[in-house]
Amino acid sequence: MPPEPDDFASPLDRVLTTCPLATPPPADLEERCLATLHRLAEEERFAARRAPSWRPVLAAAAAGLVLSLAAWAALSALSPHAPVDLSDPLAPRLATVLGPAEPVFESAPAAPAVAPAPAGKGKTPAAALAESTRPAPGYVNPERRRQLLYSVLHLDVEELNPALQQASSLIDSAGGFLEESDLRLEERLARRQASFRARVPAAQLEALLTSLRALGQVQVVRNDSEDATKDFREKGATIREAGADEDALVARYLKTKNLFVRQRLYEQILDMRRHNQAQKRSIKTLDEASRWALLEVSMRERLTLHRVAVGAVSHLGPALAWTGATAVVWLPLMVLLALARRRPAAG
Amino acid sequence: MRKDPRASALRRREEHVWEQLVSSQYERIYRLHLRLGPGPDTAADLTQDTFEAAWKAAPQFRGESRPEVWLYGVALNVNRNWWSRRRPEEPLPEEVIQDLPDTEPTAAEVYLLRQQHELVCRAVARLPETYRRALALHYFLEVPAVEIAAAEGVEPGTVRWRLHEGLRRLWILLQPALGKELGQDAPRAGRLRLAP
Repeated sequence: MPPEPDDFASPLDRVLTTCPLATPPPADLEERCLATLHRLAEEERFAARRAPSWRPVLAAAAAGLVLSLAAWAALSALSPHAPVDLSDPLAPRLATVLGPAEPVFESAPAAPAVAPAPAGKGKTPAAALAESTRPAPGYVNPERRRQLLYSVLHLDVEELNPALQQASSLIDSAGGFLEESDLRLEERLARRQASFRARVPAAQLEALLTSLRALGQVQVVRNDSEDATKDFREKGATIREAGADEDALVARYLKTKNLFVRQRLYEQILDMRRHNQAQKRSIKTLDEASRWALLEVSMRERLTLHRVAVGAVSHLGPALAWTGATAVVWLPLMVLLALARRRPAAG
Repeated sequence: MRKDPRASALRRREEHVWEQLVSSQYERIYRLHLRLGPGPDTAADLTQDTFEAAWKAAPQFRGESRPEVWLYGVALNVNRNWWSRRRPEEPLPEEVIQDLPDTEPTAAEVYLLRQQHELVCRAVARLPETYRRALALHYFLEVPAVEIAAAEGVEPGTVRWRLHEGLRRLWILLQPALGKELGQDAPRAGRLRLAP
């Protein structure tokens, strides 16, 4: 194929295109090149025979991995140790009934301040958003919502004492305190278990649960919550009404001159005060309960071969002792039985 | 550009396709190596090396150019590597290339050059890699600029410029030697510095 004539108008074109070298190639060059080719092909075949192809191995490994993951996922779904959803299932229903609820485990960030709309220039998007989200009548401020949180956590741990210490320090660092604790030994299997009840600040409950779950294998985790806002408001209204009634009774008492009526009013006022104090204590308890979440944790040492063996050995001693103690009864009986069987044979 | 049907067979290293390629191209490859410098024995060795290198690089052949053009590119790489092991590259000083006037050979000079094949080939071998590849593919192996562009992954205009610039630089290299061949007195000082 001749070079394109319109490429360059250089006289050297002709020099280069007519620059053949008269020297012919060696006669055996083609054979040498073909021999090189065959040698390379043979080397490749030999290498392929010696080195197994990794593709099937990798494919089998990938398939095994996928199957293992699928099996693990299926077993996890069936296992009782499957991670439990910590969200409150009742929250949507409560929100429907009582209005928007406060997040169960953490407080919502404060809403950004909305800049007022400039006068005469229409509403800014932020102002329009603020107006569109204005609370409806009867709306309860989320910050005033009262949620009663209650969580249960059962763990299997390697060693009970270190786990208990860690749990205690975690509760302390979360600002909580232990209400009640119980330590028991399961004699038959020589493993100990302990349970305790703690009160922690409601905002710290979720983080604390996450930390506690890391101490062992989770067997049971349960989170309950109850919106007590309505109860709280009703109690508050009752107390306010009772206070107003009391004030009215006191006013009547001060105006009344009749001693008999004054005496009756005085007794009524005292009764009402006692009743009001009981209501105040109740609402105070409710307030405390809404600020302090209740957490019940149960820990049990994991069942290992060593513990089973220790349990068996610990039972062996009492069994031997019981056998020795009752030997007074069964040993003479066995001797008598042996003699009774031998005597007819001798006769 | 439509892919060559032989590309996949070459990638799979099917021997009969490779044998056809060797039988049809070994002579051209040999002549290419011979023109670019080494003697006949070395050119024969480099021809073998070219086919070996092409066999090893076959999986990377994308089939965007004719297999022959791809093979020529491999041959030029083999040749360059051989030269790089032999002597360090001696590029032309750029300032000299810029300073020289854009002259062309006269008819007498062209006639003389056509008698001096070895002189021309030696000068081509001294060119920088980019221009040497373009000139060798286009003039020695008769590959059109469009195909060179496809094989090198550049625009056809770039290849044409490389060819033009390569010819200019080639003439700069040939001019002083030609002066001696013509029996003239020493040429201008600038040209003496470029004598091969």
